[in-house]
Amino acid sequence: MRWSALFVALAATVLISTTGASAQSTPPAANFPIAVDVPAGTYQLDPRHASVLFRIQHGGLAWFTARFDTKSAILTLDPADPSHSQLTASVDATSVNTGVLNAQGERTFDQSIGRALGGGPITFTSTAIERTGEHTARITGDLTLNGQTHPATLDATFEGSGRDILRGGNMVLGFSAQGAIDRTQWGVNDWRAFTGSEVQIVIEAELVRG
Amino acid sequence: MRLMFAAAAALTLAACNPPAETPATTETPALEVNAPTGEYTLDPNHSTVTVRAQHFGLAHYTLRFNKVAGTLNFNAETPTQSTIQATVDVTSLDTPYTGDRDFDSELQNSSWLDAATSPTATFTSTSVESTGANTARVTGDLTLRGQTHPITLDVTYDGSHSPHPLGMQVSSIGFSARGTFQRSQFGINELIPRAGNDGVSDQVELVIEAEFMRPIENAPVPGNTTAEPVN
Repeated sequence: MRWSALFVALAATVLISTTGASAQSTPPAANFPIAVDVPAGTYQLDPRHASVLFRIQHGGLAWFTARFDTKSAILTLDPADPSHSQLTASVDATSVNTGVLNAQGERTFDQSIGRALGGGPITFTSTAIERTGEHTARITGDLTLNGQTHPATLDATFEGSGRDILRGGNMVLGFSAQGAIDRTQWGVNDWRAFTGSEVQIVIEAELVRG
Repeated sequence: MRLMFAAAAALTLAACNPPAETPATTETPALEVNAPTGEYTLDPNHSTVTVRAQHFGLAHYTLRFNKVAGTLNFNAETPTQSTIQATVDVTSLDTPYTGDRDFDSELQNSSWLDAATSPTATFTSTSVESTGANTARVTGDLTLRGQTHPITLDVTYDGSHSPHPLGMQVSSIGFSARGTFQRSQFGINELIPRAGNDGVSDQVELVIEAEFMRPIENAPVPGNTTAEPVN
């Protein structure tokens, strides 16, 4: 790519300066450009092209996987320094979808999980975004679940961007994000006898500039 | 650029992989095997088949098949002698979106999975090779859209118990599996990228979580009563 030479030069500089200053505790400069080449603005989740999965180990056996079908997110992107961006996201606890139906074909399992999660919106508001690489960041935020708010962290990867004629010719950004929480911190203690306390979160999201 | 990104993504994944997906190393202790040799049936209430493909170089479009069946012939003494056969009901394809587009049915039409002609996909293992204390590479024949080609799954053994901790007289065993295949091999060519990322990736990822059960011999057949929410 056009700035790969710049990247190599920067990386070399970092290596040299790190060696020279090895006794100091100042962190090395990032070996990637801080600014990103996408337009500033407010990006909204495209619900057609997004999924929010959660995984929980059942009986010490497999990692049962379900999803939230009602979801939204707004990213206010600062391309000059993406760590200054803001993210808010929400899923509806009652939109849990396991794909498992009872003998009558009803979604009673989904409903019981929705109740166990407090039955309302589950929200995430970023408080800090820290770049961990050119295309990766650690997003810390306040997760409100079951009426309780505690910090949670997502490791996000920027997958790519492009303008999409089918989405109004607007800029679209693609992200993957993963994280894990201890559900008991939020007072979600149902079925502890046979399901784990760790809940893994797996997000795929495309966001469209408004 | 693409390589740099791939490397960054790989590092990120390596850094944040959940325990179930961590590749086994020589230091990984072997998990106990508490389930006996025998024929096990897939537990459809505690198994998930997730499929992912990258959408126009952006996010990974993620869908699920809700109806899955399978039989595991588990060999507790020599696990690599085990065999598995699994069937996915293609018409149970389930995407996370409901609204003005019905992706569930669009993806079953003749330009994608052609579920009317090929309503089931099957996997039949042909070999199992140990790759670590709790991991194995399972090769088998995948039949999809009427075509059969070999694919490989990287499988992690998650655990087993017998009987069920809540007292049900069943033996249970759980696995996580990951694999990829090229959909064009199976004639699924819709929106295949012509250049760069102008389509949906040819590579499709399978993310499988599966539990198998077997009644304990000489024990009363378990009834329908259980404290678990699924039944």
